[in-house]
Amino acid sequence: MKIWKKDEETRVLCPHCERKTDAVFQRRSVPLSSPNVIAENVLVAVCRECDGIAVIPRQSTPKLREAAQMPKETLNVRVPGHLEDVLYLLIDRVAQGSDSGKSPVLRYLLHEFGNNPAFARRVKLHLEDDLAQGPADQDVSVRVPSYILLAVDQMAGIVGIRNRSEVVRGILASAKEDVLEENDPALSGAMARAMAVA
Amino acid sequence: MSHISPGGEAWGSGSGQRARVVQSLTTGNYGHWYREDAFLKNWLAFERISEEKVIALLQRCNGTQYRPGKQKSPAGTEVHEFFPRDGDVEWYIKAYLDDDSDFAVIEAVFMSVHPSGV
Repeated sequence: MKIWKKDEETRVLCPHCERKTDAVFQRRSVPLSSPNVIAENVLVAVCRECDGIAVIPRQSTPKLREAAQMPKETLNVRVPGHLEDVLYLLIDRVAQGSDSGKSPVLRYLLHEFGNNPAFARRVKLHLEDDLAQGPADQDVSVRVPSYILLAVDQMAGIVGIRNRSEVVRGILASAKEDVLEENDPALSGAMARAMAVA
Repeated sequence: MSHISPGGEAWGSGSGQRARVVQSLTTGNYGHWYREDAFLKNWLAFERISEEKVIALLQRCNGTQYRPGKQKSPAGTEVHEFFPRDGDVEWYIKAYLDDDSDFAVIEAVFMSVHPSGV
């Protein structure tokens, strides 16, 4: 991987000057709007002419991701009781019934939904399952990094799911087939490995 | 929406541009166009999609899934747009390339990487 050093020079297409300009690598605070955070001390290519941030090199992406992961919020949804049972069965299966398993299991599935369009489309289809129906009489509440919910909301818009409650219904109905009935061994294995280090 | 390149099925110069974008991902000499909403518009910048997956998507492109274009802003900038499919999902990848041999350049700068419909 190419590693750039502070004060090295390059050339960029400057988004502010709207043309090619000379640039220098500097450590800067990088404002982001979604999630609304500032990534600190990030090596970026800065335009020599306007002093604006032009390009973020590959080596700086872990710092961007780390900053995006910081804010957290609580996801509160209501689901049918039988889907809450599915959640606890998933904890038994991939997290060995750990007391702290509910949050990691749901977080993993929400993350998968937000970043994997194929999984998200399956979730949308599973919303039609009989399993996904029923009165929403059980509260599910988990603390989740905001960026996961941003991704969930973006993906829900792409695949046409109306709200987060429907997303949770769909991912539990889907995980019942994919994980509990082992229709997707790759997903089961990846979840179990993630839970082992959670 | 049709994404037919001027050459129809034929890649024309697009095959070479694709190879250069893939090469930048392999060598790690690439970057991301700065935009505040990059989390939503450039999934690669936040590792919402892996380099390996982007390479696989690019390699899956045929000539009809590539379009050279001129950026409106900055005006006239030559960009490369790819529209690979992964099952039912169409992706959108936009990047510009730099190859000034007299300058230490970032070989490819990604402007957008996300599923279509965003």
